[in-house]
Amino acid sequence: MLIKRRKILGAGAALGVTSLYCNAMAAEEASSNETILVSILLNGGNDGLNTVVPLPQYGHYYKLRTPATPPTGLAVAYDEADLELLAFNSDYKVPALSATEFAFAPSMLAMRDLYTTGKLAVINGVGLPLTEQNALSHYNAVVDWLTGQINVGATLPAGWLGVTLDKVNGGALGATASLGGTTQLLIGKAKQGLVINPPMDYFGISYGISDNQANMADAFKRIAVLPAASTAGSFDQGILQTAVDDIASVKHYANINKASDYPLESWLDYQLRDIARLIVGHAGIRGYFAQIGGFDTHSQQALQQPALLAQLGQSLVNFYEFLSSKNAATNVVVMTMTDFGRRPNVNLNFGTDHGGANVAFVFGDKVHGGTYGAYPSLTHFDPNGNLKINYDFRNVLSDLIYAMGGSGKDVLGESYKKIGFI
Amino acid sequence: MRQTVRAILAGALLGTSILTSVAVAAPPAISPIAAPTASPTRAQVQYFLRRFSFSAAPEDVTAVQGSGIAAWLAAQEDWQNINDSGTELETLPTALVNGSYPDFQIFERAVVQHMILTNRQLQAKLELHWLDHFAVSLASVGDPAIMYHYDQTIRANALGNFSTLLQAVGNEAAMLIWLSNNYNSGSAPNENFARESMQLYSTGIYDLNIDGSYKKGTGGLPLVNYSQKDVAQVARAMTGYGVVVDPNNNNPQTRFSVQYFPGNHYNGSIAYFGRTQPVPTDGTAINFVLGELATRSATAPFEAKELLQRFVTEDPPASYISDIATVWEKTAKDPNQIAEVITAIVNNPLFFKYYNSMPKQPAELVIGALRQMPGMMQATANVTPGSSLLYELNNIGQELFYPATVFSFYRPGDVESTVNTGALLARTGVLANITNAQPSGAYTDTWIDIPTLLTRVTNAEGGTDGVQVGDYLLDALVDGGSPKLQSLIKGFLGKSPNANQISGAIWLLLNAPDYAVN
Repeated sequence: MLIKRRKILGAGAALGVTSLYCNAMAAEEASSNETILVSILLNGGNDGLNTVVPLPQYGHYYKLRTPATPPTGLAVAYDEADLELLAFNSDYKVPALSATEFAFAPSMLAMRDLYTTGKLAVINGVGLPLTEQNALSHYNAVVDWLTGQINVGATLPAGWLGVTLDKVNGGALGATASLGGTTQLLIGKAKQGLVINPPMDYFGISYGISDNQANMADAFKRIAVLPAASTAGSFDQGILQTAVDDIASVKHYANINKASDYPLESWLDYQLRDIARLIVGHAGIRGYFAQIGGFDTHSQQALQQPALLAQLGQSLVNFYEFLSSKNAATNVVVMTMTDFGRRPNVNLNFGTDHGGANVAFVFGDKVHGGTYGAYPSLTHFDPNGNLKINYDFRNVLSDLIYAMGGSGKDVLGESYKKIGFI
Repeated sequence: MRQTVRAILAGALLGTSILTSVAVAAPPAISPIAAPTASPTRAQVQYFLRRFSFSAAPEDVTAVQGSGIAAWLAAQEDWQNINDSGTELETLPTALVNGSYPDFQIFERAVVQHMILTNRQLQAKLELHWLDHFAVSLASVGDPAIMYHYDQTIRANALGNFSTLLQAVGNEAAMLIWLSNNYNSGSAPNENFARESMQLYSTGIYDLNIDGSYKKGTGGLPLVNYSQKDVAQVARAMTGYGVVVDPNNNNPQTRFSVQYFPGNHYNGSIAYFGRTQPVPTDGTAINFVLGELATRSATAPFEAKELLQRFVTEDPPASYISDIATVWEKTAKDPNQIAEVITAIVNNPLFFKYYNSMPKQPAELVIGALRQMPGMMQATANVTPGSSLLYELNNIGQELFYPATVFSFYRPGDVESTVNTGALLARTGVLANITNAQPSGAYTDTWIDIPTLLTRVTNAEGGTDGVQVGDYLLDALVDGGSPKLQSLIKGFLGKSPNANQISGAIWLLLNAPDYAVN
């Protein structure tokens, strides 16, 4: 049964003063083998073709991505020479200068380094099926990725990761947490994920002025538990109570590891740093969400996408290095998702429009590095003129759900053949 | 507290400190209007004004109680005859000298200040709605003069005819830049604007019955309004436009223009929605396409439902959508169509059923507080950007003109997505910064004027002891409040509250769940 979020929380709030999460100190924490999944949404529809370039199809790629009069500095197609240092094969052990199959975008040096570790899976040709009626709508596409459903109607289904972890108590903070704002991904059938605005050190109450701050704090505490006069007020109150109840725990984990030497070079670093701190602190959270935007590159793509991809790779390196230094990386898996790919051909604004198949990354000690799926053809497209998909996006999610201890069939409604990257 | 790039940049670029504070006049009371046709209750008026204005101080609520909701609506719909002087918006665009970074803040603050102070409240509320509906980011447009022009167009048409509004917005430089239609050329069409003009701005994705339900095809799947082929063809139809900016021209009014380049228009037959279209090649193609989209059968229920979702309930029943969509269709050619639709929404027997049923948008929460308390704003020239109201709106998740996505800050029907644990704790900080601020403080942008508040309390309650102040605040912010909340606030205030205690009580009430709802 599809349940709108507020009805879940409204019911919880109406039952009295209860936190939404299991606050008992005896709550189960993640065992040492259980996978912790970090999902990163690349908001806007990342251009997969300019993220991983198929070297055997380079000629077609160059033609598609070069407008009639390419201006200096705004060319979308990468020069072949620039791709040599970042080339890779399905066998991750093949060094770049010997590789002939694919290449990361020139700005993705960090990602190339990650690939060398044998822990990065590059999944080619992932996307929404043609039976998704509006695959090229940002909203529809993101909802599909977050819920694991297609053709979603007026009522949003729960998120696939929230559902997978619905029966997991996690620690004092519950089983899921978003550092990237409210997300349907972490809304299960029973619970809604904690949201922390980075940096988590500031997760707390900032009080108004008064002559007696102790009175102020006490009054606020009492207001937070007074029965609200409306259902919408109860909803707000439920969230507020949860937030207040969780302050001590969040601060506890923030204090365990200040991570003052964690490199903070991007907004994604801020999000991943706090996720790392929660993991290192054994918070018991099993599902995390982060996001970065700016991938909807309809114009002047060369001025935006390379930097974003560089940021993505570097942030993953920063994250993994920190976790490894604390012996906390073993069970952590990171996945990327994005609305859709982009059109094969560039437009006259030196950008690309909404398209089809894309590339997905999954990284972690548990991941079998390499490439999965052939690169879509750059001469034979789907009926909409876009890159054809190899893997329905739900196929990727299914493998991850199993890795999390869930059942892909139960969560997604269908079984999918294992891809095998984890 | 989240450090935004803008905040860091602001601190780096501007090191001004406030030398003097310039008190901007508190919002004047709404004048009594013509004889009421109904006698609404106080709670009904407070609810109505929360929805269709940015809330009102108790005195103004009393005035509307006396004159009636219908009279208020009628006066507001005749907005041209409401005095709108007294805000910094009047000094724009000359204040936008050359599009440099400080001008971004000047523009934003002027608009927010206007929303707080204007007497044209219905127009201002619809301005916010259309800015959400036609969300465009200043970060992408990059020129506050272009955004100012865009905002002026939205405001001028906010209560007018929808087709006129849609066409006007479609021809704005800001929209052309935001959705890449400024380089949409016949030789390589860009589909961005074409897609969103249908998906977001007019018909929506799915074909709808008049009551907002999906029309379904074989297999029970909803029918769609357009295919990918339609998107590609509509993109061809709207080719040939460009935004021309003279970087050496410092006059914000003449620095840019939207021009049509016939040579860049698609030179071939264009067919969408199943037929060849006689798309004009004289520069009116955008009007041609958008004019048709405005009147397609799915547009009325799509737009009606969105208005209801933003102004009444996140889940409007089919009968309500049907009623409003019917009015929408009937008034399709009326110059004040949107105003008539708003009246129909309010007059519908279901309207008052949804009292306090939705969370406030974050901007409503802050702007409403400043209207009701009363809030004061520094003149922009004296503001230290790091502490500005815009920074607070950013922290609370809704800095105007920087929408998070093409759906603005939240998708219609999902305002509750703005309510999460991180957001509510950030809210405490935002409200603390506003209520703690002192006039003429070195880092003050906006503050609550306690002396003026006490004058109002005296006028309304006969004095300023703790009970009287408490009664006034509770009436203003939470429609009186529950007995337990009343007892808590009055207990906190004590017998003779000073300014600190009053500020503290305001902070408590602004954080109360009962304040956070519409």
